[in-house]
Amino acid sequence: MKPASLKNKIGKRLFPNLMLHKKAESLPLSINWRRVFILPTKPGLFFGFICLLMLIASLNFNNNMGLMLTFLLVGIAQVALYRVFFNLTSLIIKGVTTQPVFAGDEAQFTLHIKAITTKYDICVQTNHTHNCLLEIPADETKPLPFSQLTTKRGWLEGGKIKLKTSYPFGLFYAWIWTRIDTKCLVYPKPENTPPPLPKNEFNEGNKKIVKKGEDFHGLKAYQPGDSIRLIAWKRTAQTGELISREYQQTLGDKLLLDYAQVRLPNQEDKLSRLTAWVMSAYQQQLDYCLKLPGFTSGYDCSSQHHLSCLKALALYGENNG
Amino acid sequence: MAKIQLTKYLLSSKQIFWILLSVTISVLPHLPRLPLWFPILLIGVILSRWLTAIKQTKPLPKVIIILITLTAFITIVYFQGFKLNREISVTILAAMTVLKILETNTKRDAWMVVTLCYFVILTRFFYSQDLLLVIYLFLSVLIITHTLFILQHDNKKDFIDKRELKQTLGLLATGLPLAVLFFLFFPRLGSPIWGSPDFFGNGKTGIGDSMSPGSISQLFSDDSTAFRATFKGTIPNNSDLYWRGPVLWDFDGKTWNTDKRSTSLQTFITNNDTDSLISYEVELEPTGQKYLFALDYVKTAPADSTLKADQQLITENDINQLRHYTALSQFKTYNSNELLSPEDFARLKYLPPSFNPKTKALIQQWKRQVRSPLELINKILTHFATDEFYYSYSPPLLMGDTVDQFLFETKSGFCEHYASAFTVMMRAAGIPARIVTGYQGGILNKDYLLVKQSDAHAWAEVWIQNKGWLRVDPTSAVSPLRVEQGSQALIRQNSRNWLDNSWSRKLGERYDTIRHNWNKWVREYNATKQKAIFKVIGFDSVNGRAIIIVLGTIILITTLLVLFFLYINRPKRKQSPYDKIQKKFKQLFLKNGLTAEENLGILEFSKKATEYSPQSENSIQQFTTLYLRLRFAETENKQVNLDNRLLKIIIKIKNELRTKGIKE
Repeated sequence: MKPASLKNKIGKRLFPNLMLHKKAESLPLSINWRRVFILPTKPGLFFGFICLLMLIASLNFNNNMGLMLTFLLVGIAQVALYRVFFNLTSLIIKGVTTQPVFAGDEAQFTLHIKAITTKYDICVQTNHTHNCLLEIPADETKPLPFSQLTTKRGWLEGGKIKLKTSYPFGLFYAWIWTRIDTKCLVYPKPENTPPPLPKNEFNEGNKKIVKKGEDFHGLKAYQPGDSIRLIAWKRTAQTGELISREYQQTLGDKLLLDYAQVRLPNQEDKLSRLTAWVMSAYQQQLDYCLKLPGFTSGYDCSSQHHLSCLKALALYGENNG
Repeated sequence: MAKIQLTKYLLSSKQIFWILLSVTISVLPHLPRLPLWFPILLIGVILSRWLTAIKQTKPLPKVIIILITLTAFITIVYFQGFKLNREISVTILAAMTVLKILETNTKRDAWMVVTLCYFVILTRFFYSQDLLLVIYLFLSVLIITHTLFILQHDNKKDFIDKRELKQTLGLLATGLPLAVLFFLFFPRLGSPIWGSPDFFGNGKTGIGDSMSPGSISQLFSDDSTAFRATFKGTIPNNSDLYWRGPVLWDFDGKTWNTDKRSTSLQTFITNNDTDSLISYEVELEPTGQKYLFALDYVKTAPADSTLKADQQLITENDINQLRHYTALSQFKTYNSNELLSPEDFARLKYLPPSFNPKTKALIQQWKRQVRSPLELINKILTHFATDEFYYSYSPPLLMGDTVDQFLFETKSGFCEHYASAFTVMMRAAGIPARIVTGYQGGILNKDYLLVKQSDAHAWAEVWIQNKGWLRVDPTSAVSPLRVEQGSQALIRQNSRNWLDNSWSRKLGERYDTIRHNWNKWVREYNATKQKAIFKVIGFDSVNGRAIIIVLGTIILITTLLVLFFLYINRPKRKQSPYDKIQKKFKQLFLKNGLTAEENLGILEFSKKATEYSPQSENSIQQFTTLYLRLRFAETENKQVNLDNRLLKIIIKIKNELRTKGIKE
């Protein structure tokens, strides 16, 4: 047995509730008192040190007013200890919401925390964020955001977070660990300076985008399916063939973004480039189609289409995608 | 650990405000004792820090702060010397705390300063533990603890927020039981590990070791307590209450001084004595001097003191803390315990030559008329009693031949003048005599005798050959009232100043009773009294086991108490006006006979209500729509019309329900 797993096993045995953060928990999560840790803060330790000095000085000179002051401070510390504990228990994490981000950005998660009784100074801490709520009134739910750094595309779990508080005097802090399994979708990091969008270099991408529009563009041979109203009767009479008018709204290429066509050795680099292209195509409102092995999006320029393309890029190669 | 943005740890102006308040309140009671430049430093630092806080400017450069700090330290060392005594320690601690404000920019610094403030408050109690300081203790702890609260929980709104203060106050009150129980049961030291408790003094007060014109008259206007005496048996007559203090031997024409020799007197209690011995306990307020006061004539020296040859009780160290002692005295006309050498007699007869020639001449004349020293004494006392002598608190100031002036010109004065004149007259007649200072009388206050500074008195002692020392109080010849009923009787007759009336004196005496109890139960609570309390709860000795059991129990009890208090004071949800009106709406139907659960959502409840009483469908619909719109649409002006409109609908439904009942 590996030492780590042995440690876990012992830990689970001895402190079943304290080890809960090892696996993600289902929401809503009510904070049980058995899993709350409490330790003095640094100011709390200094406070204790000063109290000790005061105790020694007062005892030595049998200064009863001094002892009264000292014991009053000890009493305050005792109350603070229990108060900080009750300020964390019975909180409920009702849910976690999140927004997709690009790899390298911070993934934002928002805890929705409900308080049964009014709670103060509830903070969430991860490796690099520390956000606090000043007050959660009784029976209300408030959002408390935290973020995680992203390094790679795919699904990112909210991960291990620390929910803590030092209310009322900052002498003690109580905290719990928990793991949030709500996942944030992380798109591949767009290539920093991508080459311009591919144009006529691909066979299939060579087609002109033909769309009905207001601007008269030219005439063409009638094709079945063209509206009768579009038939240029004058011209038809002249040529004896059915000629229809062509109107176009946008002039441009139909864009195919094909994974197979990206000439980069690395899969992730390819995805990065495609992401950058998808982004810029969407910005220019081009009709584009993303083609990945096992995925073809079809031509569109809607935001829905855009998001589904990004999602496909994010989850490319992942089983659960 | 976490990488955290520094800005989160910067202080808001509200926090700065409370930090400044904390430092001010902790330093304030020290100010009279601190150097004169200290208040200037305090105000300067506070103003400068406050300005940087509200104007959001940069803090003072480090160099300037270091310069100011160095200047302060050099000034302290220059004026007060470089010793590790209390005055300098307290000055340095206070200066350090105040100067730390200048570089308090982050929460870390703030926590340090604020916690230090608690310690500064503690040092105040080393100077005095008076009852009034309790108020100060609680007020300052409230302010400093609230600063900790603000440092933790800062809403950046009102500087003084009643709701927040209430929270701190509640937590403070919850901490009280532990404070009280720990105070009673936390083991005390029998004697200090280092230093002496008398290390902390407050300057000299009360009767001193010399008497010059005016030194006693200062005390006459001082109604503060000198000491309290509790007698085992009945309290002696006022005219017997001569509280003996410093004995003055040497006269230089102006000032009387004590005998500086340290010969001690050996006394023995014989069987004959036991009947006439008076035993009493004295609680002496700090004097900063070495004298204990006891009734004439002192029989034995209390613990930690010596009875000097001239019946003066002297302690080893200055009395800088409240002191308790039990004394034994015996009323005697003559006290013959003292052995006097020829040199002593010479000193006791000495008068500076060429001073007071008229007095000397008068005495020479009288000496020829009398046969014994006792007759001479009587003649002088009769002279005082008959010849236009007055007792006065504010006699004219005397210069040069003071006794001559007093006896032949001004003829008015108080104990100091009479005792001095009498002793000089005795010495002029060649009879050994000296002055004894102390207190005379006292007021019976509940069960103890209260002796105030204004009871200060001076009398004479004359050596009668073969018999011993005889106490003669010339003041009693002039003003018998002073000795028979005490100084208070005189004060009642003629006020010392416009503030002096019986009402204010009564109030003062009432206050002294409280202070006496305070001293007894709190200030003087010690290892001995603690032992008695341990005995009450069943521990015969205060040993390790008893302490652990008791303190453990205290922690357990207070934990339960704290949990209980926290439970009843838990922050509850305020019922919103919407909840109230919703309840009212539901109750209307429930009381009318609708069977539905009360905690049903408003929409579902309305549905049921409509089924139950279809004729009020419109009103129910109206109510529900308005209710939902008011409650959940943020835009409407919520508070104003809420009750009115919804209430009107409720009344309408009520009427409809009633008509329904009639129809059926």
